[in-house]
Amino acid sequence: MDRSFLSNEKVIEASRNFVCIRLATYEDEAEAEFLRTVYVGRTGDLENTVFVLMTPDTKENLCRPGRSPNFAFRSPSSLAAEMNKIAKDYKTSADLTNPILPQLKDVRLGLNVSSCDGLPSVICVADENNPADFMQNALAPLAYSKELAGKFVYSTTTDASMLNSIENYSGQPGILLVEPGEYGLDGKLIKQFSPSTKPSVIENALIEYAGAAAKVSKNHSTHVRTGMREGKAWKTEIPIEDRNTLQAMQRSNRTSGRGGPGGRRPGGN
Amino acid sequence: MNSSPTRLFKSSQRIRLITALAAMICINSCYAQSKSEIPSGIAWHGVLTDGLADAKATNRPIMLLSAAPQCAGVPGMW
Repeated sequence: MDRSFLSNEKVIEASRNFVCIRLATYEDEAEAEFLRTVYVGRTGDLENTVFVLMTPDTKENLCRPGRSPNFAFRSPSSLAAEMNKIAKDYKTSADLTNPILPQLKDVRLGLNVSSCDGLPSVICVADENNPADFMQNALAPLAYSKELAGKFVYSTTTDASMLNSIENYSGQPGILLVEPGEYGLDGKLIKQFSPSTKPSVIENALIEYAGAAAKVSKNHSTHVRTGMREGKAWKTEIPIEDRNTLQAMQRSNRTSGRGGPGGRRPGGN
Repeated sequence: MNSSPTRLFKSSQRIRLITALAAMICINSCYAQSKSEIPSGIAWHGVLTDGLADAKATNRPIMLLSAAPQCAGVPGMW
């Protein structure tokens, strides 16, 4: 993922007039089908990364699709300038005060992405008496607010046992602030809010936490090498297609003695 | 050149004041360097259907990205 573009201040500012969607490649068959309609490499396989700007109905690409922003743009500034130009053509037609919480499809992925981004996780744990949408509606405006946008990674579960790997978590429903582990396979509970906590209380706590915490950065090769040595493995939901990635994994597996890249099917393990 | 005791006292007070100010500036600067904050970023939808629903409802253009949250099968790294 090209961080130089996506962490650029001008691009972040321009993103406020866009709906920003970041999918996890090879983690959902239906999303993979959609991505294949956007961009595939010369081999026809879905590549590791995809980037494009599109119209709201997805019928038209607004830039050349590719593996990353630098397929179509020379610099972060040129991407931001194009985004600002495009945004002028669209009048937002709906109420922006009822946003949809920008979250991952499940907590397993949410915790992993949280670790990838080096950002803390906010997890809604719902049950039959504490519906998910109540907590999500409380969090959604905060997730887009000027103070908190892009500072936390959100996900939801109705199965508290999915969070057995979270240190200090008792299994009660509520909104959890979690610091992800180095590999996103576990984490540590920092704070828990009851499901009925006022949004302003959560907002103040998140602002305070974000103001004192730091984005975690990792060394790529050290992380991968150590992860392999320690057996930290991730099974994708669908098989990986990107040939460069597959070759790299085969090389790595030969040296570490691990099994093949595989890929788990939904419902499988 | 001889200095009067009063002048010497004033001069030493000035030096102490300057030293104290310098120390305060240094402490403040160190504190500022150690204080951290998560920078603002992009608010990403992680679910395609949610993102497309948002785009349809608000008529905003889409920035679409996809990336694998694992590197060579190791999670925690794009």
